[in-house]
Order: sequence, then C-alpha cells, then structure tokens
Amino acid sequence: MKIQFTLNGEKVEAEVAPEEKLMDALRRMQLWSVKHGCETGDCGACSVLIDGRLTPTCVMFAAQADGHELETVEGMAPRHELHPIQQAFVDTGAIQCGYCTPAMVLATQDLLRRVSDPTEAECREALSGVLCRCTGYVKPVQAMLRAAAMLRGDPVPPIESEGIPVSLEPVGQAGPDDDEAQVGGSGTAVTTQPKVDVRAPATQQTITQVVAHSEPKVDAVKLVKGRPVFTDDMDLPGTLHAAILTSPHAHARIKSIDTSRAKALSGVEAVLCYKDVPRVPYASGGQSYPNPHPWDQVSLDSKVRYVGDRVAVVAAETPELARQALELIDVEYEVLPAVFDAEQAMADGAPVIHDETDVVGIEDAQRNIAVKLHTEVGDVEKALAGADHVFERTYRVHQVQQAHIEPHVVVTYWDDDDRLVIRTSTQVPFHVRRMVAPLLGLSVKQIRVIKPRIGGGFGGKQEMLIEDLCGHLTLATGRPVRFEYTRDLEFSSARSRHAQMLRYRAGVDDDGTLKGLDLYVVEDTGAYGTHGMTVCGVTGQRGLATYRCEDLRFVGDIVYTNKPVAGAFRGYGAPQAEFALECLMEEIAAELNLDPVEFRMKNSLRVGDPIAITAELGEAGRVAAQMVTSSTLPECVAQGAAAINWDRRESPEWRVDPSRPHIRRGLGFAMVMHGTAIAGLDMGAASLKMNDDGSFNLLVGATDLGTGSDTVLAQIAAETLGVPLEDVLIYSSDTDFTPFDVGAYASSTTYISGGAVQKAAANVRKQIFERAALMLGVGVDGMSLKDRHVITQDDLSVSLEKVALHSLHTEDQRQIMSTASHMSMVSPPPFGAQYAEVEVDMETGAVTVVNLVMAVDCGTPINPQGATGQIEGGLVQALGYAVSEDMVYDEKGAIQTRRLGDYRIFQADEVPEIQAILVPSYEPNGPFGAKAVAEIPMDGVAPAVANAIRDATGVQIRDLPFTPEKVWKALGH
Amino acid sequence: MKSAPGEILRPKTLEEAGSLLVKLGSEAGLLWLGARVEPPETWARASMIDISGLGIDTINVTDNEVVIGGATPLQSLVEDQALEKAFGGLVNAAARRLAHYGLRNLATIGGAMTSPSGPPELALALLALGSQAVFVGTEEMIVPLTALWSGGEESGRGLLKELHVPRSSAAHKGWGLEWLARSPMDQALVAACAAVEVKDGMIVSPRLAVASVGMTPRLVSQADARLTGASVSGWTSDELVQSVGEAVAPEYDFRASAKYQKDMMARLAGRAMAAALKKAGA
Repeated sequence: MKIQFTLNGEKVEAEVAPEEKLMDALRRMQLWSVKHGCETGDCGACSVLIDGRLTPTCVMFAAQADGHELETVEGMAPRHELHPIQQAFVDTGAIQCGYCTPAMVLATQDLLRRVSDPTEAECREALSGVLCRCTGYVKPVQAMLRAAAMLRGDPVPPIESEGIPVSLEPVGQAGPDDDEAQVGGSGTAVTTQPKVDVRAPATQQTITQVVAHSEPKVDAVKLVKGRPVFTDDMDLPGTLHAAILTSPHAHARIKSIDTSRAKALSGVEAVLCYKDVPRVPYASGGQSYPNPHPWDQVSLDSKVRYVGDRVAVVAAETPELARQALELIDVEYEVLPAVFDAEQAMADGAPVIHDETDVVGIEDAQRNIAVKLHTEVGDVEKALAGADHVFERTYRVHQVQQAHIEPHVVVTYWDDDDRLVIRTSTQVPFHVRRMVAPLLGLSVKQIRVIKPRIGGGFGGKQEMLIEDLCGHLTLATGRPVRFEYTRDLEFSSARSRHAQMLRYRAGVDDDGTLKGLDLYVVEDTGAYGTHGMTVCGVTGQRGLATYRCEDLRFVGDIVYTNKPVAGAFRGYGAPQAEFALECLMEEIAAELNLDPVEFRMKNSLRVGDPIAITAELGEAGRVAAQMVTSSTLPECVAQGAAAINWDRRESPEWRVDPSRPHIRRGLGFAMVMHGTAIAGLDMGAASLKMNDDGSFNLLVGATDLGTGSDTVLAQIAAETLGVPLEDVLIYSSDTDFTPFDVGAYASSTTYISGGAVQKAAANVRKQIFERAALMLGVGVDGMSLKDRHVITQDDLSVSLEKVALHSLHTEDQRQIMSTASHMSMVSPPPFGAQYAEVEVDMETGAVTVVNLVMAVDCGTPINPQGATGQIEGGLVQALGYAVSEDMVYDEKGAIQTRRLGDYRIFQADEVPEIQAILVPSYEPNGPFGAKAVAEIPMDGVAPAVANAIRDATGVQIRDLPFTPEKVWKALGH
Repeated sequence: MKSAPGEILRPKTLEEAGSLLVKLGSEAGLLWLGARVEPPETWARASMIDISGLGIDTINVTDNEVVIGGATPLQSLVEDQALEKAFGGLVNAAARRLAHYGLRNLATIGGAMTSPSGPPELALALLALGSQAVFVGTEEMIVPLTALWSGGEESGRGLLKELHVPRSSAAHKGWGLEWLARSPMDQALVAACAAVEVKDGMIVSPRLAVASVGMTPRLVSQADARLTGASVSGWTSDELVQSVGEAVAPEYDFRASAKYQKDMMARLAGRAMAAALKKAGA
C-alpha cells in the first residue's frame, strides 16, 4: 500500500506492506538512527517524533504514519553541523554506547519545543520513554538542561577539566615510590567535591594537557547524529534473514526432526539442524586460548538442555518468512526430567544434564558439577578455632540479565577473496575469530571479524553466542545472512549473571580483628559451563581478598541446571561475593557492637599489603600474589560519608516521617575492591603511525562497547605525543587491520590496551625526536613535544607536520610508526566506598532507594567525565540488581520475564539521586597512574541497600532482590 | 500462511468503524494500543481498522460530566488542565502511571480500557468516579465500567467511542490513589483508588476500586456499603480489610503471590480511603 507523510520537512511517498512495522520501514529507508531494542515499545530506542511527540515505532505499522509529520535526528542539522541539543549531549558526556542517543536527543527536542526552561523532573519524565543501560541518566539530564539554556541563549559553563603532573614514560619504566603513591589519609576535613589530587611521580615532566581532562568522546559526533555505525546499520544486497527455533522443553532428546516442510517454503534458503553441521565441542565464553573447560557445547545438538536452547536455524528472504519457516519444522521430543536448583542438581538421582560422550573437561557429569574449585591459604580451621567468635551465614544471589539495548546481532558474508566476514556486535572480536573457525571448518586466516560500534555489552557480548550459526547459514547458502536476537530471545537464549549460594564462616576476635574466612559457593551455570569456572574464581577472589586476613579457604561448585546459561556480566562474580561479604561484615559489626565502618577500616587493605588469595585463584593459573600498590580508600570512605550525610544515622528523628508513619529511613555502607585486568593473561596491542600533516592513526584491537575506551586510548597517545586529541584518529577493531587484543572485559582496556598505546606512542615519540634531531642538527637530549611541535632544550622547534613530511618525503625516508604490546603480571585493585539511603514501608515491604553515593579510587581518571559516567551508569544497573531485576521461571523452566517492562530496568523518572565522587590515587603500574573503573560500581549497591534496610528495620535480608513481598515477609508479616 | 495484517481499513465514520468491527468479528482488530503492548505480530489480525481521524481523540468538560474520546492518547490525559480541574488531578495522575512518556503518546484510553492485563491505575480512577463506556457497533451501547471486564469481546461490543465521567458524583471531592511496585514507575503489583465526599462529618458516596497483577480492576461494593454513612472519625481500616477480603481473589503472578496481593489490596485500600477523606476535608 502507498502512504504519504512528511519526513524531516520533506513530503515522502512510500510503498509499505500492511504488516510492515514503522521501525522497519524507516530503517529500510536508511534512517539508521531508528534503532531496534525490543518489540514492545518498552525501550524507546526506535522512537521518532510523530507530529512533534516522541513515539516508539516498533509497535506501529508503517501504514499508521500516513498523513503525519515524522522527524528523526537525521533531519536535525546539516551533515557537518550539530544542533545545540546534539552539542549539549556531546559536551556533557551524555553519550556512552550511543545506541539510544538519537531517541534521547529527540526526547529533548520534543520537551524543549514545549517547555523552554524545564525542571529536572520534566526532563526526566520526557526521557522516561528511552531506556539507557549505560549512563544512569545523570549526564543525559544535564545535557537536556544545558541544551535548554543554549536554546534560550543563556550562557553555559565550560565543562570542568583538570590536568595532572605525570611522567610521560610508559608503564613499568617510571612510577612513584610507595610513599608518593599513598594519597589521602584519615579523611578528616574533607569536602564532597570530586578531587583530582594525584601525587606526581618523581620523574614528572609536565602537567597533562589531554590526560585527566574531560575530553569529548571521539565517537560522540557520529553517535549523536545517528550515523550508520552499528552492526545492523547496513544494507547488503541479497541478504538473507535468520531465525532460530528454540526448545520448548527444559530437558529433552530430539527423537526426530523433519525440516522438509520448512525447506519447501518459497523464499527459504536454508534450514539447519544437528544433522547438518559438524559436531565440534567448544565453550562459548570469549576467553583466552585455550578456552577454560568444560567444552560442553556444539553448534546444534540432538539434545536440548533448557527452554530456549538451540534446535534449528533458518535463513530466508525476509524475517517474516524465516519466522514462518520455524513453524514448519516438525520436531518430536523425548522429554526428560529436569532440575532447576543447583543444590538439588548435585544430589543423588538428579537428572544428568550432560550425558554425551564427547564433552571435554566436565568435573563430575553424574552429579552435574561442571567444575570444582578448592584452594586454601594458611590454616583456616585453626584460625577459626582460635578466634573469639565464629559467624556462619548463608547468602543467596539471583540470576539477572545484562539487558544491553542493542540485541546480539551478526551479519556474515563472503568477501571478494572468498573469506568469511563476520560483522558482529562483540566485545571479543579476536576470540570470536579463533573460536568460530573450527566450528565452521575454516582456518583463522579465512575469517575476518569486524567489530563496529557496540550498543552496550556489559559482558553479554563476551561470548561467541550466535556468530557460529550465522556463519553456518552463509556457508550453506553462499549469501549474506543477518541474524539478530529479539528481546524475547535475549531473555531466553542469551547469557546472564550467575545465581549463587554463598556460605561464609568467619572468625573474629573481640577487638574486631578478622582471623579467618571460609567461603563455600554453589554456582548455577545453567545448561552450559562457558564462564562458570572463571566467574566463580572471581567470586572467591573478591570474597576473600577485600580485607586483611591470612587464613582463607575457598571451595566452589559450578553446577549445571536446566536453566538458560549464565555467563559474563559486569563485575563477573564480584557483585555476588561483595553482597555476601559486605552483609556479613555488617552482621558481625552489629553482633560485636562495633561501628560498621570502623570495623571494616580496621581490617581493610593498605598500600603494601599482599593479596594472598590471588596467587591461588588467578585465571592465568598460579601467579605471584598481588599487592596493593595504590589506594585512597580512607578518603573514599570519608568523602562518601560526607556526601550522604552519614551522621544522620544517629538521629532518631530522621528515621521517621510523621506524615508517613509506616516509613522508616536507613543508611547503609559497603566497602568494595575490584581488579584491573587479569594478571598474567590479558594482552593488548596498538599500532600508531604518523601522517603527512603530523596527525596519527591509532589502530587498536580493544573494543569500545560504549565505555569510552577509544577516547581514553586516544588521550593517552595524544598526551604522549604532545598533540590535541583531534590529531589522533583511532580505529577499533577489525581482525584484519588492528593488532590483537583480548577484548573488552575484566576492567582491562585502559590499563592493558592503554599500556600498549603508551608504549607505541613513546616509540613514535622517540622516532620523532630522532627525525627532529636530523632536521635541526642537534641531539635528542632534552627534547619534548608540545602543541604539535618538537621543542629542543635550546628552545628550537619544528612542527610535527614538517617532521612527518621530512620523514616521508625528504631524506632517509621512512614511516614513523610503531606497534607495541602490553600485558601485566599485576592487577592493581581499585577501591570504592558505597552508600545508600532507603525508605522502607513497614506495612508493604516496599523499599525506595532515595540516594546512592559512591566514592571511587580508580587511580588517575584518564577522562574524569567518562569515569563518572561509568560510575553513574553502574550504580543504576546495580540498583536494578538490588531491588527489581530478576529472571523468573515457571515450574517447567520457561522464563516469565520475557520483556524489558516485566524484567524492569530503571527508567529516567524513577532513579534516585546519584553522586559519583572520584578520589584518585596514582597507580604506578598503570598508564599515567590509571587503574580500573568500569566494573566496581556494580559491586557495592546491593549490600549497601541491604545494610540500609537493616539500619531502617533491624532486619538483615540475605537474598536478592529486595522485592516488596520478600521484605514484607522478612519483616515478620 | 500469511503475515497479519493483510489489510489496513480506514473507515470514514464511527458507525462504519463499529459496523466493521462487529461484522468482521475476530478477524478484525483496532489499530490502537493500551499501555502494555505486545509485539504487533501477536495481536495483529487479518484486517486492522485505523480509527485515527474519526474525531474521538478529544476531552470535553461540561458542568455535568467529562467526555473522553476513546482514541485520546494517554499523554493528553496527563496534560489536560480542564480534566485536572474537574477531578483534582486524579485522572491525570492515574494516566501518568500507566506507561512511560513515549508509549503514552501512542497508547489511547480506549486501548488501555480494553486491555485488562495492563497497568490498572486509570481504570481504578475511572471506576471510582463512576464512569461509563459508550461503544459503537451496529448500534450504540452504554456499558458501566464495572461491567467492562466481565465478559464480552471488544469486537462484539464494537468500538469504544468515549468514556463519560460524571461530575455530579460527589466522588471528585476527595480521592486517594495508592500503588505498590518493585520500582517507583514499575507496573503496580497492587493498586487501590478511593473517591469520597464528606458531609457533616459523615462519609457520603464512597467508592473504592482495587486491582492487582493477578486480578482485573473491580469496585469493592461491600466497602462502599460498609462505609456509607459512617463517621469520618469512626471508620476503621479493618472494615476495609474485611470488605476487600470478601471481594477479591487474586491469582499468582511471578511478581507477587496471591496472598500478598490480597493483603496489600486491603492495606492500600485503607490508605487510599484515608487519603481521600483527608482531601475531602475530613
């Protein structure tokens, strides 16, 4: 049918099918800013302005646009210009992955046309129609208010930016001594203002010009303009559309499968089941070679192990045809008994989930134990026997979903050289290439993996999830194939955070000295092992490493159940551990009548302390024990306390609200420590070359999944080379063109890939100095780089452009360039102090979190705006973990939370007050003193909220999430 | 197999739309949405009837009643100042609870009222205010809101043309709307709405409506009967607990057990009534 509408001011006539959704029609018209995030209008990523109002288009038919005025961000400003709203989003750091940014910009446009001077509440309500999993909405709201001021013509303040005194030498070659690395102290007389108070190393050369400045993201402009930069933003001629048939049973054998009717459907080009693809055992977790055991998956199997497991895949000319073909596949199942509880799965007589003979590395298949971890430091039994008190507590944490707004999406095709190109939204392009090759029967050199921009990952894309199936379909058809998960599939058939049972025994003396810790964990990995072992290992590390304690034991059982598979999720075992540990510390303090903060600080790690358990639980096998080399933890604690007004705990009047007598208020605290990369395992590399005009191309294998790592890496290069950020053109990542990197996980990119960039830049700087020396006839001693010039100690100077031209074209010609790799045998921990303020309804159990504060020591924040953005977004994601998000199943193992609305991630008009405070230290092992920030915000919210509930009600709740009914029952109703 | 819809129909008049609905029966559906939206391929039918442009998207306030067109977007209810004045902000507040801003621009009151699985606050408010729905099919039909979810397909009744909310009712003198959810803007696990007038220290015309995720909205007439004529200082929430207990039988939902829903409906009913009495000047 033919429809007419106005699109960005132009009259448009379009031919649409009656069943075509408006979102699909707009994308077909190459309006790529319109994004797919769900099919139910919940996320709003597909929103456009219809007659001036923000409206989701995934739940509209294209025909409904007839006669209306539509606007998208493509129409907001000419190609090379930004609309003031877009500029405000760039300025304030409101863009992380950028997938929902176009819709956010349109939401702002909608509001500001109606209200020129909006309140924050009005901004939040206008933004409520766009879910963002990255930002926590803090900076987008700031952007809206800033844009409003700009459009009114009011002056707007400059974005705050700092510099720090640092060495320009690569990591490991210079750094502060121990005394200099210690910043902060007792925390007295602190203010709540973010501080950049980094002690300089002895070899300092300069105040930084780019590092430690809140530079705009290097990819901000293309994201805010909605350009086609994501995996699915392309229109390859002849592309087929994939769809997957998943299991309706939690545990079953496929007795027979007949695909003939599906294959006979006109427009269906391939239907694949287990009979059609090679059976190659593998583990899907995107991890380093060799992938940790167990290798318990095959691309398509004759047995299914959870509702949502793979049965068959289809490629057809249209998505509708592909879906129709699924209904024509005839499958007869032999339904088997299933088990959904990890502890029951280990019991005698439980159904055996992996009874196949070709699996590799399952610990005890008969008891459904995928892996067993056991390690001990010191003598924990002796320590507990000698302690004045022994506390035994059990905690339970639940399964939650990453819920990145961009679903998993892959496009595969043969290139002109008969190599398979896999364009995929992944955090681990190099792991994907290595892992998918044997499954497809290809060699690594026959595969090229392209990672475009990623619309959020949070660990969910640290997995080779659907690339193999898409590849198989291209192999079967010879044609390009596009495979995108629906939101329903994200919940039923992607990955999630591991549920765990954590049982602690803790020995403590009367004076509050921690004597011994014994931790037993049962971890539910779901139907397949993937990240199970390594996540549990991190649980052991974080659960036993946060405090000074010499006698430790960790036992972990990683157990199969007939539930969807758990995997990597921001924090990777740490949020589970920190919830249990920080609740335990609160309970111990209460029972021993100790101040909960002082008790923790008494036992906290200091600079110079060893972290013994890391030698036993390191992912790279046995490595040297880690040591704390930088920390501002005491000042984090003090700054956070001041920000949340911790002293209110002592006020009985504050605890009650006379106008709401059923409400009790409480404050909670949690102290957290994380890791920075995987010691002895993670490696990243960078290539840097100089161009004719003195600019640089920086190629990295690191994958910016929205965190801003491309910006951070470019800042490190720019700082080292004495050029503004705009002179470093970074590209990530493509296995053909960028050097290897393990990928984006384990809070590693700034530290590992940044170390590689710093080394490569230092090598290039050295070559520049040598070239300048040749040009100027002087020695290289005392040379420096500043403002795009080489400066000699005698104040002679030559521009980088002239250096480049001389090197490329004039004399002794050569390309100034370098490639460098970096890995680290140490994993310096960032620290954080987390505070929560809650209101508990004593009659209903409803918990309202009204304030979250986190003070973080991430070493030097290479980009303070980006670092606070990471914290703000992490806090809101962690808040969902604490109070609302949960993967719930029916009695047959089918997931009930199949849409974002039911699963419930927080929207803009319901998040509490959020405050992120940076309290930097100088980490001698990190580039410019940096260590991690990306994951630590996930760790402390749940225990801080638990402890705040305890403070308000006197009841400690030991399992997540704190839903109204659970709290109500805990209150004794 | 063919993807639905096979056609989009655009009737010129309300009567034509209503007739089409009745004539095509289960083969036809309306192109309007409630606040809880399923993927279009799950609700689309062979013929989808587009009712935009039929002039039923307005809010008209008179001395006696407010008439809300069935195709009125939820966001219009949130923003309408006359509506706010007429009912002290109850309908506006209830509409805001139904969905986020973007969906409120798309979803209509007709879609929301004919989708009983959606968020209940607006339905509760309209129940408490004594509203009626007017359907257009082969002939016009008036359905009290109390009967809206008790059997009968939407298509059988025809098109929900408008809702009539009486202003003569004393209800708008005082109201209370309470809900309980996992997060502040989450779909309510349980909600209650009370509307009441106070005369000479006595409760007049109380109307209490409750709902939960395991139960469609309903009026608790037992509570109304018990409270009518009671002294504003003499009523107790115990009476409401008993009334609600007699009136409701929620079912398990993955978000809350049936028992919890039932207990909380009673609890919130008490709070809603207390808030309504306070607003009414008690």
